[in-house]
Amino acid sequence: MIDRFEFLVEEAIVALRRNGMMTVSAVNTAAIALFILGGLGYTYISLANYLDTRQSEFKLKLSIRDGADRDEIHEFAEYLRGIDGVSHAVFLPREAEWEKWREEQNLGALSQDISNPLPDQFVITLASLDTAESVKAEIGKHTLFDPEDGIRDAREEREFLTSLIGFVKLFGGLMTAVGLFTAGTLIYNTVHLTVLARRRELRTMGLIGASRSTIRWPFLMEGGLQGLAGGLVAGALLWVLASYLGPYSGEWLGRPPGGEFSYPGFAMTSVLAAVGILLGMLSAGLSVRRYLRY
Amino acid sequence: MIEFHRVSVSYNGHIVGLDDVNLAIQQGEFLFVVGPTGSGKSTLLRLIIRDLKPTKGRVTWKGRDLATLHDRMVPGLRRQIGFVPQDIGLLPNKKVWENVAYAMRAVGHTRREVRERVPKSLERFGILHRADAFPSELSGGEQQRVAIARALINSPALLLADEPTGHLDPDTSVEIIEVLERVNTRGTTVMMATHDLTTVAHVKRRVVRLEAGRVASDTMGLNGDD
Ligand SMILES: Nc1ncnc2c1ncn2[C@@H]1O[C@H](COP(=O)(O)OP(=O)(O)O)[C@@H](O)[C@H]1O
Ligand SMILES: [Mg+2]
Repeated sequence: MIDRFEFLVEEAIVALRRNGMMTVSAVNTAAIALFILGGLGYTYISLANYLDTRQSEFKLKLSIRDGADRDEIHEFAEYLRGIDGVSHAVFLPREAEWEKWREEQNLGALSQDISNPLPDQFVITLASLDTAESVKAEIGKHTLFDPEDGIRDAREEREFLTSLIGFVKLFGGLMTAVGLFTAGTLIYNTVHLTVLARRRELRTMGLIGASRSTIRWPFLMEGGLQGLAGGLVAGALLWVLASYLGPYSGEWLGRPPGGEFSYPGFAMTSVLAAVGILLGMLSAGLSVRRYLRY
Repeated sequence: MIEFHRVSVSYNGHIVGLDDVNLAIQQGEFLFVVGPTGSGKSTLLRLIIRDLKPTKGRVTWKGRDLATLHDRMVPGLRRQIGFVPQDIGLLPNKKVWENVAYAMRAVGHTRREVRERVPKSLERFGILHRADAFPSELSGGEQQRVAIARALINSPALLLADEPTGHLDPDTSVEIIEVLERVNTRGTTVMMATHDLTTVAHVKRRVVRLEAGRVASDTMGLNGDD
């Protein structure tokens, strides 16, 4: 068992070594393809993440009719949380808000006599911005909702962000898909060329009694190793690039200054290596298959 | 051991490879398949290792119809047969000894068995001194020897050699045939295809002559005195 495994691995390594330029060009191509894929993918993911965090900053505020008792408020809270698209609903009691406001304004004794002018309120965080309008409609149906104050909502900003998110998700997803397809095609083509150059060998191996798996495995490992090497090179290049460009990205995204930029270099490199191995083995498997028919 | 029963092969539906061939080969025989280029010699040999299936008729190996052999059993068949292809088919990225070793390793022999058997085999065919050369660094005759060494390394019951003297000078051709005769004396059945009648003329053996895919004669010796 071990002996056979050793044999297959040796076959792959000897082939990689002796195919010289073929190996170099396969690794190069894989590296370039995965670099592009990684760059697109990472930009997309970080942009989408960033927009998602902005999304959660948007809140709806609404007032409750005067004179509601604790049970009614409790029931209203359950109602709000039950609405589709609401992720949190937090109750702000008027007394607590009033205390806070007075402390903030440093009013002290001056406000002793003034009666609390604030209503009880709810602050609602949405799961996603698209649902804001339907959530508002649902809220309006409840009797405890005080329509006089309405629902406070940064609507224009919200709508801009919504369309931006839609665009980024569509375009970024598309670009990443294109990147994956391109990487797949490029890697398939080069790996296929290395197999094509050796199709007579494949035939000979079959004629002298090697089983299909014996023939196939070294090629799969070879393709996988080429993909792995490409992925590692691409990961390293991206890491270097990110550590140069990273500090500027905060500015570009309007992130608060001083926010640490951190690039998940290890994770990215691992993902690219894994994608490389997968694409390499898949390409080799598909290429070899055609020449392994009896 | 092998029987051809009314075997025809046509390529792409109309090119005649073999045409209604009947043939029986006994264990231990030494047999030449001769005929001009394109007469069907390679086709005949390739049928035996199931590199091809007949379009019509039946090829049997030890009584078993090869056409019905499951793909998965094909390597098993080929391991009983040593094959020297017309194009020699050495793996160009492997050294001489690695080429022979591959045939052993691929069928499950251990590294130790390789170390024992490969040098002996190279010695036997007079190419031990070229063990570390790549095939491209060898002469045609040396390449043929490596291919024969590889075909015989797993002690097959049958050796198929497709024009093993194809591009060799007459002296080297005679040497190769002597090598094959020695192999045959040890009990291996040998079938050799060739278009070169002068080499065949030296040896008194069974000769099957093909012409345009048909068996034109099947005689003992070239001139047919049986
Ligand atoms: N793969 C193939 N495709 C089409 N025709 C072929 C193929 N192989 C052989 N032939 C044809 O079949 C005939 C017999 O070929 P072959 O068996 O190679 O003859 P030989 O080995 O005696 O030279 C020839 O006419 C040849 O052109
Ligand atoms: Mg031929």
